[in-house]
Amino acid sequence: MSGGPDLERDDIEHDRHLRQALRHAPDADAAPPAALRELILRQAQAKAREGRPAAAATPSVGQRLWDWIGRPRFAGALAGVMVIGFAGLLWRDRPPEEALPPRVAMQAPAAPAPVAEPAPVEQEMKAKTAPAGEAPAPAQAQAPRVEKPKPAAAAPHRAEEAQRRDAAADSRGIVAEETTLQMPGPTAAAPPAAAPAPLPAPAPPAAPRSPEAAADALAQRSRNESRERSVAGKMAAPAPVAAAPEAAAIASFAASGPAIAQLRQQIGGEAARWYWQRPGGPQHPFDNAVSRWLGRLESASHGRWQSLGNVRPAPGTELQLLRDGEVTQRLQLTDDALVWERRDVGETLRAPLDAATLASLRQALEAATP
Amino acid sequence: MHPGPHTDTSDDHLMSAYAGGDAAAFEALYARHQAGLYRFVRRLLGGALSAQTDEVFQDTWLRVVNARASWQPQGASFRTWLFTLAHHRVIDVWRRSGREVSITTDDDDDAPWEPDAAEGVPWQQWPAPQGEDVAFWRRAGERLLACLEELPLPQRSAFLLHHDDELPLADVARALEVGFETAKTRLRYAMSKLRSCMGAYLAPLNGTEASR
Repeated sequence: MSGGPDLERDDIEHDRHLRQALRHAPDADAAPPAALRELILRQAQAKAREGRPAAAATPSVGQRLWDWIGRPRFAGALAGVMVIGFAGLLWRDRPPEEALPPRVAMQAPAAPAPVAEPAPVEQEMKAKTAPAGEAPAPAQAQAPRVEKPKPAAAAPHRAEEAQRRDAAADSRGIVAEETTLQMPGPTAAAPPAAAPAPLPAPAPPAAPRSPEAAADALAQRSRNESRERSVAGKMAAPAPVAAAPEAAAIASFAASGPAIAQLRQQIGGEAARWYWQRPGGPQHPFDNAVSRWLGRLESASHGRWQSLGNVRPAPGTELQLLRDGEVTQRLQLTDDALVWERRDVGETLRAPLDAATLASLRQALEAATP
Repeated sequence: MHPGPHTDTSDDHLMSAYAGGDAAAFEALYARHQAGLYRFVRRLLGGALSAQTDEVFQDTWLRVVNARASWQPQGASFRTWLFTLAHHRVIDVWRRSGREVSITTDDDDDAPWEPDAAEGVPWQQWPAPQGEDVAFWRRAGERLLACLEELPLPQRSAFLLHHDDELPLADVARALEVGFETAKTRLRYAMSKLRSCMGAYLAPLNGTEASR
């Protein structure tokens, strides 16, 4: 929104017109259905009712209760882990001569050891929390029923902290969404799943309480219903708002601006700030080889860009460009297209290319980024 | 169900009151923000996912309810926080929808697109609407919704938060959990595309101010 005074005047004028248009849009008076309003208010009232005593009691009693319930549950697992770690450490300290002869039988003594003395060591270990982090592998093996490893790690945490974590996780959800674009997962099963997961996390502090569970169940039910409605809606009304020819025209406007050439120009003007990186690989200062490869991309993709919206591209050969240490551009060669994620702008573009071109670009990339 | 006594109370106070067990405070909050939130969710989801508006809307409020005990006014306003929650839910829905999100596929776009101008006349020079033509603004509104459909989600949310919900840019950045500059860039791109897409609907009104 910068520029000369004329441009700014235009901006203000356009802003006003856009607002005006928004106010007159067909959905401007859309309101939630009355039944939904009732449902939400009823749930809120129910929580408020139970909130009154809870607000006074929860900080002390609730948290202590949580500690009491939570701690022992995970303390057992933790103690077991520590015993295994401790036994392992003891065993590791032995000279190899001692350890070598019973090489085959070695696992036998190691396994019973932790089982044999959990109780005495448990108490000793409660005080020492540090070793807990040292033996992650046994921890997982030891605690199969720990369906919530988060609480295990954060057993002493309070309800407030859990909710704060949830809020942070909420925000992390977005970051995760962006970072996981680098991952090869096509539907990004892991990270997107991770995002909704922390959200129900406010439940942990409230999980023992039955009304919370009821609310969750309600929400779940409404979700299911909505999903059904959504599917039904899709089947019934496939076309979105815009009429076809107009939509087609509108659709392409996103493709008008960007070009790899502009990116190259930008990098050229501040080359020292730019690095390239292959997924999982180290960062390298931007160099001529990569610049030449971008040149090839430019000629191959010129005038072919289409807006991809937020669709996750299929995995493919990829190059990331970092500016001041932050990945701002991702260029990906998929089976049928070049996908350009402009993270700084928050948009993803796609240029469909033929297989031969893509193969040659892929080969050139391998050569340019050994 | 009337939030009368809370009419002049700030959102923060209402939320605190609700955390203390005052259900009427929540009703006041709801009444205050429901319309804007519902519109935001609906527009952000777009036509293809609009069937899930109710779900996202309800889920957002439930999160407010569930977070009542831990909620504290910090930095961002309640409204910003509320829209942040909704934004997260929308992202979840977009993710869930996965490939259902339509991909733009028309191919003859070698040249930058311009709205259907009269031949040879740039859209900037189209005749402007006369006066307060409600029908004109209705069409503009329809067009704008269609244009919004074509914006990537990050740009769409930046635009809606800033223009529809009138959050200051700093709050937009907060709600989207990005830096100020990033929010600004997204908004700038959104505006640029919308201007191009809206064409004559944004032409100067020849001195006639659009009221309302």
